Amino acid sequence: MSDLQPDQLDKRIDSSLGRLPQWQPPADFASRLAAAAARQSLQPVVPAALVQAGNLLQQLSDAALMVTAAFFVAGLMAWVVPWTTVMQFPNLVSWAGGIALGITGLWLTRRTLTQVY
Amino acid sequence: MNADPQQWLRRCAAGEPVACRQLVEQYGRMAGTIILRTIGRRDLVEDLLQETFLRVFRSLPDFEGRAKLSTWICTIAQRVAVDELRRSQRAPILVHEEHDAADPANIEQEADRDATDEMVRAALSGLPEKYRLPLVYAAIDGLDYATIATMLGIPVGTVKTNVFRGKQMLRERLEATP
Repeated sequence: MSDLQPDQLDKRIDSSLGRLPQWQPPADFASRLAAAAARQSLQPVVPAALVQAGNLLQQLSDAALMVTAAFFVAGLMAWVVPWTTVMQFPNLVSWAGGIALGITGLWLTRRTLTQVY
Repeated sequence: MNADPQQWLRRCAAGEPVACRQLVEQYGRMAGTIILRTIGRRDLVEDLLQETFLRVFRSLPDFEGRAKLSTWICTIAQRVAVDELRRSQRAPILVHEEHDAADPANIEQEADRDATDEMVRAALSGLPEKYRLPLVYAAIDGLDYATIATMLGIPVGTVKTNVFRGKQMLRERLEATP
């Protein structure tokens, strides 16, 4: 190769690149794949319950979701922790919120994984 | 082939065998060649192409038509192949393919050509992925720079630069070959 002129070498490289292997599908490949696709379409990727829950969440606007969540948290706090305690220990609110979020996250993750797999 | 492409895609998404078969027949060869040139192993192409098309059928409802359908399918094929390449952590070796029995008068010429092809493929296998992939994709008929750019997620200008630089590196390596 070292004895070739640069333009000859370029031509050889180009023609070799043009002869790189191509893939030819076997005769029945498309039919087999179509059958696999049909089988796949019969299997729901996500369980119906999860889809319904997702649809409900999608239909709720962000604002509605935030207001609902705020009311829920306020109601829960008023019920669980007396107002005087909150005034005395404001840090408690952050800690309680953090722990509640963590537990909710873990619970939702576990629930999702259980339903999907 | 199909009067209404949208309807055809909806039928594919629903898993209708005839529509799915037509889609594979139309784009299978190109997607398979992309996979073959990315991983360099013919024995894995069928499995990876099956994975590609199952992903395509599953994702068809989300296909918004912003890119061409062919570009979208090629991109999925390329990602499936690159994932496999990284999983296996093997350097791709583009296999030498046997040609039909040559005309005796051209045997020497054929042998010379095969030897060159072999050297080019060996040199290609040693190129960094950044240069090797644009170079081998650019040599596929019907795959333009814009499609390659979308597949690789880089600007068209970068594809052209990498193809040019890749050829330059190939030339340097071949010149160093005795």
